[in-house]
This record gives sequence, structure tokens and C-alpha cells, in this order.
Amino acid sequence: MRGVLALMNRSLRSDERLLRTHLFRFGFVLLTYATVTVAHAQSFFFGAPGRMVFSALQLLNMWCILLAAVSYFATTITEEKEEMTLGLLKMAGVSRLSLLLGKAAPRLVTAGLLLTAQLPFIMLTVTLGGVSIHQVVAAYTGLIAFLFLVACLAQLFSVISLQSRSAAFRTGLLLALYLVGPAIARGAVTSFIAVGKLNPNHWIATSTISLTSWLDSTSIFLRMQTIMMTGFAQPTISHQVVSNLSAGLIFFTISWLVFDLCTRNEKPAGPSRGLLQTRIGGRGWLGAGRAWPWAEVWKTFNFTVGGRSMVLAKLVLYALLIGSFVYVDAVSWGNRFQIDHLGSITMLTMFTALLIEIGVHASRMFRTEIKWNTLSSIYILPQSIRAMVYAKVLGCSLALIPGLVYFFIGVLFDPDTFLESLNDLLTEYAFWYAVCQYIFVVHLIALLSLYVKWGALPLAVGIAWFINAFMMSVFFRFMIVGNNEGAFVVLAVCTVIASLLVHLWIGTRLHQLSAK
Amino acid sequence: MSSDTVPANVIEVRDVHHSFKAQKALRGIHFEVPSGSLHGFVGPNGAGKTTALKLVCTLLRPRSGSISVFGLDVVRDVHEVRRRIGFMPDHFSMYRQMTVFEYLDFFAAAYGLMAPVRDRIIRDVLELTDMTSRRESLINGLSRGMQQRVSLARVLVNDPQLLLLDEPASGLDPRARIELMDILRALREMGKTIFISSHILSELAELCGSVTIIDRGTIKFSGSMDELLEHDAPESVLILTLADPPDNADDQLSNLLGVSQVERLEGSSKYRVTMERGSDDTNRLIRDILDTGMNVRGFAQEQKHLNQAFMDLTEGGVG
Repeated sequence: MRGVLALMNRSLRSDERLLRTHLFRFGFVLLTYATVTVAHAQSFFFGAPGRMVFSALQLLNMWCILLAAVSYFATTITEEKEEMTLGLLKMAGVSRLSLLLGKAAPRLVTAGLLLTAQLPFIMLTVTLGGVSIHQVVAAYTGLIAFLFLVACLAQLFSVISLQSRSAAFRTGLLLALYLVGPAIARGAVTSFIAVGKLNPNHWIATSTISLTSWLDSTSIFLRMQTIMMTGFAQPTISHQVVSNLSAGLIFFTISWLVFDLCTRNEKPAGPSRGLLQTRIGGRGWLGAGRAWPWAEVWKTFNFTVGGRSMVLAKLVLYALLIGSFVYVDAVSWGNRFQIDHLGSITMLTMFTALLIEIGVHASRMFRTEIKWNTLSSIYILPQSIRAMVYAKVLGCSLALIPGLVYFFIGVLFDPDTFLESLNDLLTEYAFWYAVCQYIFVVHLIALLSLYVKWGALPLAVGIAWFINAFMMSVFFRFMIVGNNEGAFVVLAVCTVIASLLVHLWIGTRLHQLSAK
Repeated sequence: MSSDTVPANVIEVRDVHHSFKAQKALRGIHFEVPSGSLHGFVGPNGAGKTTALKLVCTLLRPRSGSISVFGLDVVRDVHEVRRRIGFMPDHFSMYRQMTVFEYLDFFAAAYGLMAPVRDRIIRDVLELTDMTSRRESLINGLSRGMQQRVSLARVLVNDPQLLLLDEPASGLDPRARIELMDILRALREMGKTIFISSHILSELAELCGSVTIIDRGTIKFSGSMDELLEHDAPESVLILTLADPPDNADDQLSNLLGVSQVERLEGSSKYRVTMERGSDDTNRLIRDILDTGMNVRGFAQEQKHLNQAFMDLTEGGVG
């Protein structure tokens, strides 16, 4: 226990000294306040204001817990691995159990304390009406169980993985599968049953339905929906609570069992080449090749976004993705393959993929330079910081080629849908506002990646979503009800100004980091 | 190598102040680095060495005062200065996922060199740093000493006339250190000016012709190594070797004019003769010794070591 307390003490003390901890807490309270304001504005149109605020707060909590899983909890052990301090802790006689507890417990405490910051607002929701104390207790019990589950899961990946990045990716992937996987699997099985491709009594159908139903019963999202129902009277300790706590314990036990095996050999973390080959000539066409006259573009394309190898991999991956969607579509239409459907599915899939890809590239563009201390070496080159940044943007843009190629192939297959959609969208004020919002989000991701180690993308999306919800509520409720176009124009102008400010801020921050 | 006209002083730092929030890092520093010299820059941890280097190499902007490199202002002519210098930071700032060739090719291309020129330059710098056989190796797989040599090769790809090296030997094993120092000597012979910050005083003393000592953000000394070793010394010391010295040689030497102390070095016929500054005429002393009938086999001026000069000039601790 001595080791646990020493680690907890160190962790809580260092957290307390860091400015970012307090900024994060302040940000969380601000988000809570924004949530209350949004709910307040919406309550003019809907009843039960207390329940509106309460629901919005719980959504915020679930989002923050997921964000914490891929950033805060996924780095518990990997940060020690990356700093090569794990061996020193072991040599100091700290047991694996103490290490696991000592690293995870302070983070759980910090996250729990963060939730308590909402208590005054929660009391307000009860006063406003529409929420009972029983619902509040049930909701927070469910949240704490979910927090324990994701913390233990993220810690397991942190034990297994060599780097925080891979731990975060694996945690995020498994959580995504857990939360949306059951719905997708059930939807696919139901479709196959509906078109007669699968017998409802076949073991695949029955086991899929049983498994997904069981997984749904452990989901915090569905549990929250139940809790929010009027007249909720189920016990506080639900199946979700028990299953989440049990699964958390299982993940913790696995972490404990595999700890020594996974941390036996400490290796200094180093940047990865990904799929890039090392040969220059011969088979080197999958390598980086010679540097281009625009050296920074070459470097970013090859060493940040994967180069030609990754382009090739994406061409294959996207083809498989589109192919599977087209197949499911054809099955659901009675085995009829429709060329226009192929076009629209390709466009929609690639449009979504491109939006995600741009966000991912924005989060990695500068982060890799900061992580491996290489920013100063390119900053000192005879070029402006602006030229360096735009070269990076261009290098990342080249990685979008596969998505763009498939998107335009989709346009060729279904030009009518494309032109109609374009015609509709271009005349919509909301569309232009959405474009401005997306540009703002991408800027925000890039800026946050200069401050936080992990999770810049979800953090930026969360912040932008709340700012957007807050602004929309304020504008539509208090200023220009009945004149949507005017509101969208004002909001778009505000967003463009915000994007410009963030743009300049990125430059200033890069200058600071280069000189560090 | 470049044939640009080079001023007498490659670096001129005049009354430069710099601070980080409330922490004053530099308090009006002033020094010059002569062209073609290998100039050491020493000081305790936190003395302001890295800050001064970052100001000279344009990574930071001075809050007040001026810095010129090759007569160019580091704020106004930032791109031209960057084109003419090579900076090696104290941390391993490398793209370790690249091969050695890719790494050097990238930086050469970033300096605007065309592919055939890059090939020649990369071949030359790899040869100079003895890394030709590792051309296709991943940097991540190289030893620390080899990585440092690649880093030095990178600094050389734009053929800079001035090299700024921040602790280049830190963390290297003795062999890698000796090899690095050999490369630096070779570079000096090629006419490069080298401004090197280091903690390894013995190697600096051997390598550098001039030195600047900084402590708590102020310059304690800047000048030639000889001046430093003579700096503020109240007395001069001569190591004298006598042929068949008599038993009372100590007494005889002590009675000579200007001699304040004589010490026989154990087990030898060598004597450490301390003379007061001002009356330390070596020619007269030798004449006086010969007049006593003793035979002088050899003599040498004992120089204060850089370590001692450093300890005398700095106060220690973080400023």
C-alpha cells in the first residue's frame, strides 16, 4: 500500500501544480454552464426544464468520460514507459498491483471530483422540476460504474501498448465497437432476415440478437434513456452498474496478470515509419523516394500521413468499405444492384471519410513534430513559419487523394444526385454556416494539438459543438427568432472571425514551441 | 565552400537582455566571436548559454540589444542569417523514422539544393562524419554517437560558415567524444567558425582558441584562451628541471629575486617555482640560476587550467 499512496500522492500533487488541470476544470464548469443555458433556451419550446438540463448534463458527462478514456486513462502506464521511468519504479520495490492502483486511482478520483462540480446545477434541475432525487442518484451511480469500466479498459491497453498513441487508438476503437457495434450488427442481421437471406432461427441470428441485447443492457446510453423516463422507479443498482463494475474488475485483473509480461523490456519510444519502405531505388516505389524541392510537403506526406504506401492502403480499404455498403444496399433492395445507389453510397461514404481524415490530419500535423522535438530544426530553416505551415497543409492534403478519387467516381456514377444536392446546399444559409463551423473545428483541432498530448480531435469537436449549441440558442431565442437567414449570417461571420483568430494563435504558439 | 566575404567578427552580441516571464536569463551580455575561430561557450547550468545560442541562431528574438551574425542583424535579416548558419541543439532533434540519407536529403532540399548537388554534398558530409556505410540505416537504429554524427552532418548540408553547437558531446561515450572532437578540428581546418557550448572543459581547453564564460546571465570573460589562463592570476608559476640538483637547491632558488615559493615535485628533479606577478622575468631568473652554478635542463610556464579559471570566474548554482 505504501507504493500506492506514494504514487497517488505524487500524481495528485503534480496535477494540482499544473495550470492545465485548473483550466480543464474551469472549462468543464463553463461547458456545464453552457449546457444549462442551451437547455434553458430550449425549455421555452419544450416542457420540464429540469429534465432538459439534467439530460444535457448527463450527455456532457458521458462525452467527457469517453474523451477521458482515450486521453487521460489510456496514458496511465504508457507515459511511464515513454519516459523510461517504469523500470525505476519497479526497482524501488513498487509492486505491479501498487503501480496499477497508484496510477489509476488518482485519475479516477480527479474524474470523480470533476463530476461533483456539477452538484449545484444538479440541485437546480431538481428544483426546476421534472427530475427526482432517485433519478439523480441512479444516473450518477451508472456514470461512476461506466467511468470505472472505461478507466480499467484504457489502463489495460495502456499496459499492453508501447505508446500512448496506440493505447488511445485501441481504447477508442473498442469503445466505438462496444457502443455502436451492437446496433450495426443487429441492423445487418435484421436486414438479412427481412430479405430472406437468413433464417430467424439460425444460430447466427439468434446468438447475434441475444448478444447485442445483452450488450445494450450494459450500455450507459440506454440506461440513461431509461432513467430519463417519467416515473422512473427501477433500482439504483441496475444490470448496467453491475456489469460495468464487473467488466472493469476483469479488465483490471487482466492488466495485473499481463503487467510483467508487457513491461519486461523497456524500449525508448520512437517515431514509426508506418508502411513506408526504406529502400530508395528498386522496390523503393513504396518508400519515400528522393526529397522534393518542396521538402516540407514531401516530409509531411511521407512521414506524417503515410506516403504512397498509405495512399495505396486507403485505396484498398475504401474500396472494401464501399463494396460492403453497396452489398448490404443491394441485399436490402432484393438483390438488385443499382448503379445510382453505388454512386450515392460512394459519395456519402467518401464525404464522411474525408471529413474525418481532415480532422485526424489536423490533429497530427504539428503534434508529431512536438512529440519528437523536431519543430526547432525546421523552424530554423530559411523560410517563414507561414510557409512551413502551408507546406504541411499541402502535404496532408495529398493524403486525401484516395477519398477524393472515389468521391469523384461516385459523382460519375450518379451525377444527378450530386448536382441536385449541390444545388440545394449552395442556396442554404445553414450549409454555409456548417462549412464555416467545419473550418473552425479544423483550426481548433490544430490549435489544441499544440497544447494537449492526446484527444485534440474529440476535445475540439466537443468544444465546437457546445459553442455552436450555445450560440444557436442565444441567437434564436433572444435576438432574431423568425429570421433564420439573418442568424446564420451573423453566426457564420462570428465563426469566420473566430477561425482567423485561432489561425493567428496557431502561428504564435508554433513560434513559442520552436524556441522551447 | 562558400567564398562570401567574412567580417573579422562572425558573431557580435551587444548589450543583449532576455527574460522568460519574471526570470531574467541574460542581463546585458556582450561578446564577439572572431572569424575562423573555434570559440568555446561555457557556464554552469542555468547560466544562459542555451538562451544566448538560441538568440544567435534566431530561434528567439532579443528583448533588447543587438546581435549580428556575419554583419547581418538576426531580427531584420533572419532568413539570410539562417541560410548561413548551422545549429545543432542540445536535445536530439531528429526525424528518427527516416534513414540517414532521407534525413540529409530532406534538409538539403529544404535549403533549396537541387538533387545532383544534394547527392554530392550528402556524400561529402557522410564521408567527413564517417557515416557513409550507414547511408541507408534508420536513424532510430543508430547508437547515440552515430546519431550525433548524423546531426552534425545535417548541420553541414547547407555549407554554413558558422556552426553553433549546443552541448554536442553530452551523453556520448569517450570514443564518440574523441571522434566528434576530431571532426570539429577538421571543420576548423576547413575555415569554419565554430561556436560550441560545452561542459567538458578539458576538451574545450584543447580545442578552442577563444572562450566566453557566462554565469547568471552575465559574461564573466570573453577572449583568447591564453588571456583567460593568465586572467587575474596574482603570480606566475614555472616548472624548472635541474640537472643533478644539489641538496639545498630549494633554499638557493628561494633566495633568488622575485621568487616567492619553491616546491620540489616528489621523486623528480623538477621544481615548481612561484613568482610574484610583475617580477616574473623568466630570462633573469634563468640567468640567476645559472649564476648559482646549477644546470637547467628545461623549464616551462605552468598554465592555469580552464577548470580553475572556470571555478574562479563562476559562482556556481543556478542563476
